[in-house]
Amino acid sequence: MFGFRPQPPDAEHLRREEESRRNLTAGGLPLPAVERLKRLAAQQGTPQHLFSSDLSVAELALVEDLGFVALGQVMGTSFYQLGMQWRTANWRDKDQGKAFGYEMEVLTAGWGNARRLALGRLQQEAELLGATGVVGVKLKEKAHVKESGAIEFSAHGTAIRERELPPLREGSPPRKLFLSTFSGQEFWVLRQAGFRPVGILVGNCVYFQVLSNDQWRVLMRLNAPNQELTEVSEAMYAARRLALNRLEEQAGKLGATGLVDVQVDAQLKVGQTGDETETYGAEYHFTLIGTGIADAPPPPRRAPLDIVLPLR
Amino acid sequence: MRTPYAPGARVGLPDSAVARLGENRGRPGRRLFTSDLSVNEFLLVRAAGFDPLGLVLGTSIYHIGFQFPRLFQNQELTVLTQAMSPARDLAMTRMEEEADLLGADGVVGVRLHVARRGVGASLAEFVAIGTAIRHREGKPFRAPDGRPFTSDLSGQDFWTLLRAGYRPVSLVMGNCVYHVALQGMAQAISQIGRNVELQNYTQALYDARELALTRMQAEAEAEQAEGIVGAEVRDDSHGWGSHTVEFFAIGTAIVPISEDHELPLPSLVLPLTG
Repeated sequence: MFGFRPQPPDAEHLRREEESRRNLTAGGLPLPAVERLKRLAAQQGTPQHLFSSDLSVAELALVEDLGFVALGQVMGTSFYQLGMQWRTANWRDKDQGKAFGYEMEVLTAGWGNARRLALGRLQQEAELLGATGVVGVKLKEKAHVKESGAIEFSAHGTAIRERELPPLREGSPPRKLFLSTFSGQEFWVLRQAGFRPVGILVGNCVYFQVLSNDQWRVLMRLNAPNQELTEVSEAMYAARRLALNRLEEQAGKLGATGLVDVQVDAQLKVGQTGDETETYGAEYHFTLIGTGIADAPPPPRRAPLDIVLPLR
Repeated sequence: MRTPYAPGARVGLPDSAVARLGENRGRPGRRLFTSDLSVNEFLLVRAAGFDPLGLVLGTSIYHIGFQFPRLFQNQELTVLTQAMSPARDLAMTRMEEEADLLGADGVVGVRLHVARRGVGASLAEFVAIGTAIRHREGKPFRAPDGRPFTSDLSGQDFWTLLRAGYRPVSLVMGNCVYHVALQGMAQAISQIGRNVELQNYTQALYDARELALTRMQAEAEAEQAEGIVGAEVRDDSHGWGSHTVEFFAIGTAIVPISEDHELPLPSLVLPLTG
């Protein structure tokens, strides 16, 4: 009527969108990503092959020195809506003023699933390229709670494989690969020390501690004398125990002998009024993210450990 | 001042902490360590002859009382000073006890976080996190009283310190919460438009710094240390307003392990980066 008319939906476009969504539901990748990566993988070993990477020049040189080639940038992302979990402390009258703590399983699982989905997609992208590893993985998380109750988690890095391995042929099974947060320099130093990365591991726990009436009164009374709120301190240890055990269980499954570069994030909310629900008590978000390592024979050329004085 | 240390004591470590450390050690077949050391630090700690054993944590959530200062007087707010000090001591002691449970010689890379929470910011959260390490050949590295050593030195600094013939004994601290007097009205009026030193501020900052540094030194002397490295004085109002400030001195007390303190001759390099 006014010169624009909505285009009738393209049946092919709709079919592709539907298939992408099915893939995502199964924890997989949307079609455009799969097709692009397959195209890139097919070009490996031919003159058309081109790699992109966010490695710096020095990192690229060091990774190549270890006998790897860069294959391309890979990423994984997931938007996730956290479920609702009631905090028992909202009915303080019923629990008769006793202290108890419990894990908020819905929130723990929500944060955990979002991270797993994103890292899983990163790994699938690398598998499509025939990679045996991903270095320099950077992790980003963001809570969009105010707008939609959603969190975002994304990861990106550079896929690499050993130079002597042939390009992955269409239809052959994916190679075993490692993810690591290490930069090119760290990867090189780690190999020198006789270790190799086996994977990025995440352990988390959201823990809620209902305070006893006694400690609650201390919390609410500004002029109470100096004293420790032992129940809150204990809640942190309980959260730490669950998160660290999860981290190490996964590390054990991957055959790691240790975890380095573990980032510890312990966030406490206490006695505050939440955005949606009123929080009466202490809530701990305990998150650990690190890279598992295992023994591996060091490369034949060993750099001596020396002291230098940079003239700058 | 730190509370005296009794080896093997479990003062204030909750059951879940003790259980958790047992779970780490008891995993069948292999010893798995978790560490917040970076790759380079991990390499240097190993090169210095140590193995990382695990992540250790000390925490204490403390309710800080209230003290109303005399507005026109420079004074230490002892209620506040005395709240911050034992809360830190508790967190550090718990971390040391965890290290002791793991059979460690000490803890490197200790990071100490302080945050204010809760209603009227009346809660202070103290968290100490570090990596427990043990000497591979079983050389003694604990403090004279059997306390595992603690230090906020990075893996790089730890390696260099040992090469230079010293070892860390203890993370020593001193603090002082001080109220800076408000200027009187008459004084303020008499000074309008003139260049003058605000002596009450200058004097207050000196007093508070001296108290914090003296307390840190007393801790180091109690550990029979020869010196303190990496000492720094932080000041923070922790939300108490502009006239109340905490001076917090922290450093690593060290003792010599050899007579000479010569480094191997460093190579001179000119980095071609940047």
